[in-house]
Amino acid sequence: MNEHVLTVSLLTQAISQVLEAEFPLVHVLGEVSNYKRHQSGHRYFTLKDEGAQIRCVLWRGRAVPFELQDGMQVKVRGRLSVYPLQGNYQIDCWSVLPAGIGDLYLAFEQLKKELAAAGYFDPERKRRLPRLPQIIGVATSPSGAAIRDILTTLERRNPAATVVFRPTLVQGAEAAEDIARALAELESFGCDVIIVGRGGGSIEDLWAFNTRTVADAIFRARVPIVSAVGHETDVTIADFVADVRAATPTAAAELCTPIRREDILVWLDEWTDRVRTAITDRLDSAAVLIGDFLSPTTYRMLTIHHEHLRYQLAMCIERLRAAALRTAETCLQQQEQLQSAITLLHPLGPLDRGFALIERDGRILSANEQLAPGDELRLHRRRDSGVASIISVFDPVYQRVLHNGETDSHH
Amino acid sequence: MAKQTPTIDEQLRRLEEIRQQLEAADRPIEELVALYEEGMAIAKQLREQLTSIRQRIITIGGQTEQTDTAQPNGD
Repeated sequence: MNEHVLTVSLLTQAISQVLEAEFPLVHVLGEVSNYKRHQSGHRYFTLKDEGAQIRCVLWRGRAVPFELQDGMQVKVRGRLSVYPLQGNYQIDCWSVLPAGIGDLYLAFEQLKKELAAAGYFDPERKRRLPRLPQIIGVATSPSGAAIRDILTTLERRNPAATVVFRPTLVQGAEAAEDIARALAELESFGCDVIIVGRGGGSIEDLWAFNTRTVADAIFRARVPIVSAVGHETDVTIADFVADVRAATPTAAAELCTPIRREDILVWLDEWTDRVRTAITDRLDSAAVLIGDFLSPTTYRMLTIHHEHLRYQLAMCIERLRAAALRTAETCLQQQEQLQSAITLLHPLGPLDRGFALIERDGRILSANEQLAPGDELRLHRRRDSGVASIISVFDPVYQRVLHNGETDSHH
Repeated sequence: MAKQTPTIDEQLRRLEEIRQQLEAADRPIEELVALYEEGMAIAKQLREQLTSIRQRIITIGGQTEQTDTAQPNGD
């Protein structure tokens, strides 16, 4: 037999030429298995279906919009190539696409289940957010609405917090790695809490937040992480791992500022009132206070001084009382004198001494009036009265008769 | 980041402590008066700080424009 003998290399080279020439471009649908990401950044996996399998390679730098996972249905696009050293052929992939949205959800569910089993979502490991963070880290895209919403909300609620912003890729092949780096950088900067997120988008847009890389980064973080990915209805793996999930970037900023500046100012007013009341109450209990507050010497001096003042006060009262008594006695004396004077002036006073009042024609006679014979007079004495007639009238000095009874009486 | 001055949170906690001690009033009056004065100074300083402060934003790092930068440490 004189067969044509080839070397292994030559045969492989021939196979390589045939295959590569025959299949310069293929689209293949299959399930990913044995997925491996090499240190160098290259990714290797096997694409299989029920009846066959084929090796695939995805060189570093060829982007996929999500993290490949075993079990995923994907559609790869590439060319066939032969790897002579191992004697096998493989698809050199240019791109890998999910075979359908359903597969992304499948991948999502798979990772979710895996991480749940690993304890990533355990409520016990969720940390509480600081009530007054000094430094708030933000990892998001510099160009979205998310960063604007976060910054304005933080400023409105608590401008005292410093914001550390780390512009971050949130979409595309490198997003997951960049998010992980951003979290590490913000943590080492000294942030008290970190907000990570982006605005809404399709499931592919948000995919970085559904990767193991980001889940691990959040899980490893030593400071609390608030996730705010997409809209309220979008829930990502990152949301499950984060300590708190916010529905929107604005809500995340609110969660990081539970105490607003106004709250502190109101609290300070209340504090001032309460503390003032407390110290005043304490100062008011003066008896105890003086004992504690003053030195014994001062206290004794104060006591002596106090006694002295009390003595002086007592003396004053005594003097006042004496003065008042004297005044009262004087008054009494004066009153008695007045009393006797009044008694003397009383028109009926002389009656007590035997004098009588003379009444003529219904009235008391005055000294200037003259008597006339025939006058009918009424005499009023102390105890009785009587009627008298004038017989004749005398001049009291010369004792001579001025009028006789025969002359007519007048009225 | 040097944190020499106490944070707002630390100051608020101190104020809360002072209030409790003043309301309990179980110390000598000299100490209570000193606490009161300390608290009032903190409250005044905080109020001034809060009413005058402006938001500070620091930007760090930055996204790399190339998408295939070699990673020194993969996972």
